[in-house]
Amino acid sequence: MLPSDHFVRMYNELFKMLAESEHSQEGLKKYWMWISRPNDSNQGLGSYIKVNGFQGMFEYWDHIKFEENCDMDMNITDEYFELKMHKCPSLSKNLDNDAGLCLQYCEHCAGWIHPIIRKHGFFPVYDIISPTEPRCHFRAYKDRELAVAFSLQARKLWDPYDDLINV
Amino acid sequence: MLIMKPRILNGMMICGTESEMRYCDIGELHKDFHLGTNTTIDFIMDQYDSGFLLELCRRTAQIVYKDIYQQLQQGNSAVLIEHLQYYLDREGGVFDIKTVQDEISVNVSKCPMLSHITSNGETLSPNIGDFLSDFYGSWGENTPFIISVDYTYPEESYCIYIRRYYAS
Repeated sequence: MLPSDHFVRMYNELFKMLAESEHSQEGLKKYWMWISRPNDSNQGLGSYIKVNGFQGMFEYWDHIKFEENCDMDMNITDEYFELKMHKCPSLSKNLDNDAGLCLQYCEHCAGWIHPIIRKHGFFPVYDIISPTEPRCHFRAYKDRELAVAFSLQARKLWDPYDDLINV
Repeated sequence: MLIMKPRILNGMMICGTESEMRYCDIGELHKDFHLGTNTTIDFIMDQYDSGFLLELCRRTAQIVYKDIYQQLQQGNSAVLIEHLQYYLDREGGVFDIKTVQDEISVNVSKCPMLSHITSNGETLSPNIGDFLSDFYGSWGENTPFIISVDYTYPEESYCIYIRRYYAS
């Protein structure tokens, strides 16, 4: 058994291997899409959003916050759902990893989450802030123009599928 | 018996033991990461090959768990046993550990990873046995130990054998 506590460190090695391989970005995107699909069904993120929209996002991440021991805040307004991660346990574990951090580690979150957010009609904005700091800022908007406006404030915007450009 | 002593590292509370396990988590569990392992194995075998899976397991066993691997290279399997015991126990596994002469067997009659995958209605990856063999086997590479896994798909149990060998 690989302990569930240590999956993220294997994940980190996988990202390095994919990034080192030929067609690295394509390989990473294929993997993100692969893990995104099951999360859009069953009891994953997609099922929460489908039923309850922003409230569903809140409920999904509230469950994650508890199980993954996250230090984060969430907020819902009429325009967006917001998640502010103050101490990401996943990146923190990889900052404390004898194998060293894959600098593309944070990219996977948007990689699997954004396709689900878009599928349900929202516009995701993900500010990594820094790939070596375990914090980030995420919003999902109903309105694309508001999402684009917010994205201009990002310190390190990550929009892997050009969701804010292609509609 | 392990004596757990909480300590702070990088701002996170983690546990400590008398032997100071390198990674030793406390707090809540997110067992759905086991679904991620299962899905990842399927991805690798669909898009890459068994060599890619072996390399991922090798990196994880030997570099991520560098301390365990270095101890094994020095002929000490106690740190690996401590790790297995701690995490199988933490995740509610059913297991027993026996030592007979130069062989330690860890009989996992209910693996938390495999049982979580099936209890969530997912199908175990047909390559889950390869993953277990590659992962544990990598810990034995270039050490005085041969580490193998006796597993029959699609069961939720297996036995890990850690055999010390001597050059003839």
